[in-house]
Amino acid sequence: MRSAWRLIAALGLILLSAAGLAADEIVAIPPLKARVTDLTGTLSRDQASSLEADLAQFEKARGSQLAILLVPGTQPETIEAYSIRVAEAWKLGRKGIDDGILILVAKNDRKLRIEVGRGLEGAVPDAVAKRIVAEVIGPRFKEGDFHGGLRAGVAKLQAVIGGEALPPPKPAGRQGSKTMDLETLFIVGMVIATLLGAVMNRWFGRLGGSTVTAGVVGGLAWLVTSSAVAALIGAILVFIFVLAFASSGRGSGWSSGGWSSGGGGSSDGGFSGGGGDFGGGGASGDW
Amino acid sequence: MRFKLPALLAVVASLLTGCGYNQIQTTDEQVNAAWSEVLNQYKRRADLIPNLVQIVQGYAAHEKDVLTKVTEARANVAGLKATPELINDPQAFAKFQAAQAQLSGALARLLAVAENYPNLKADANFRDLQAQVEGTENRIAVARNRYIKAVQEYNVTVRVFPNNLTALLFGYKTKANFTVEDEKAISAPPAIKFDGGSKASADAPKPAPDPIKQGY
Repeated sequence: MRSAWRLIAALGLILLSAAGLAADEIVAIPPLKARVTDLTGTLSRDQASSLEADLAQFEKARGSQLAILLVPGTQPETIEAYSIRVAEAWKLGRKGIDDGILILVAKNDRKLRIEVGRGLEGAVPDAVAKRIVAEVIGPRFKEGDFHGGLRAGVAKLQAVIGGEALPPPKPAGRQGSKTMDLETLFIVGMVIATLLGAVMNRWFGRLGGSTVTAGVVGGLAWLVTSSAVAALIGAILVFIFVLAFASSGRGSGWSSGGWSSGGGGSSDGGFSGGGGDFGGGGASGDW
Repeated sequence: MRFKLPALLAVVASLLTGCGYNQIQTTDEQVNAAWSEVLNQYKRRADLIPNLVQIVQGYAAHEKDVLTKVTEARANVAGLKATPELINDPQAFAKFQAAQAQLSGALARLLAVAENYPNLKADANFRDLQAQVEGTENRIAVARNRYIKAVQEYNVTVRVFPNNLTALLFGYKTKANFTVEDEKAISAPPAIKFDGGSKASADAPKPAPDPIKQGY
């Protein structure tokens, strides 16, 4: 019995090491779940959550997204190459404002990098990033104080970003865009018109049905867009549409097949990047 | 019967987009944007060099060889016309690449030599400039990578079946890309040999009076 287990364990070990050999490709990018991602087990739970809270607080106040990633190493890539890949995948910072910052620590390589989003290259130029790496974080890392180094680095970055005039953060609550764009509105309107038109045509005849449908859809459009002009145009379009393409006879010819609402980024309470862009700015250093 | 007209419209629209013309336009514009970014970062690097040379000269004036190489390489780069049209001319493109690679090498050498001068290294201005140069080199690498990807996508778009007819009709050709050798040369650290002596002895703290102006 025991020898059987040992055999299995040995086989597993061989498989594992084979996988390890096969995987001397580039290091994979961890999924973004929290602002602080520690793959090295360096930070204690309390330390990580206090950093997390600090970064979340800052995002709430200023809108900029900062994230920390600790990995064992980035070999065979340079830390710069790995860092930009992570930044491109995580998309920290708001879309169009590009105010994200990634602090990347490659612990066993003893290297660290501050990757600065395009929108913050003015507030955190390379020289400033370099100083924070070399003078704020580096010395503390040298003493083995990783939490202290990250804390001090984050505080310094926040102070520097604080001096930059950025657009205010969105009010708390909904993340996604709350206003539907015109295209979506049009499609939704047409679907309603088709379904409603079929029923109404049966009840009121062709002309009457078209008029009623146009009125209902126009009214809905007015409610949603709060623009009388848009509502009027919509109503006229619907009137023509229903009159032309729907029949008074057998209406509901269209089965309401595949029309699914494209759920936009349900972030199950976790953390996700806002779509910020990175251009390779920032600085690296070692300790 | 009744829904024939919309269906017909949809078919016509799909035929129009199916020839790939729009796709070619989109990817072509992406390549242009990526190339502009590459040029932009090269320009940024070239702009940093006079200041860097001036500071290094102040502390290590007798490193003439390294300094003149950098200035020459920069003048060389400035002499080439860095236009967006460059990507459609493989020969000019290769020449441009060679000039930029030469400048990369000379610059790396200059920074490596600077390591031997403690006073220079302690100079705050030099350190800031060094960080900027390093950052810019990294931006160049990123911009080049994105350009490579954009050109790849464009070239595939132009070559696949229905699109190649459209491309032929409108005269779209595949675009020049960076070669792998270029990428290797950039990612590998430059080999530097020191002949020893004649360094760290003469740290002149006064900056040299005349900065190099050749590049302009």
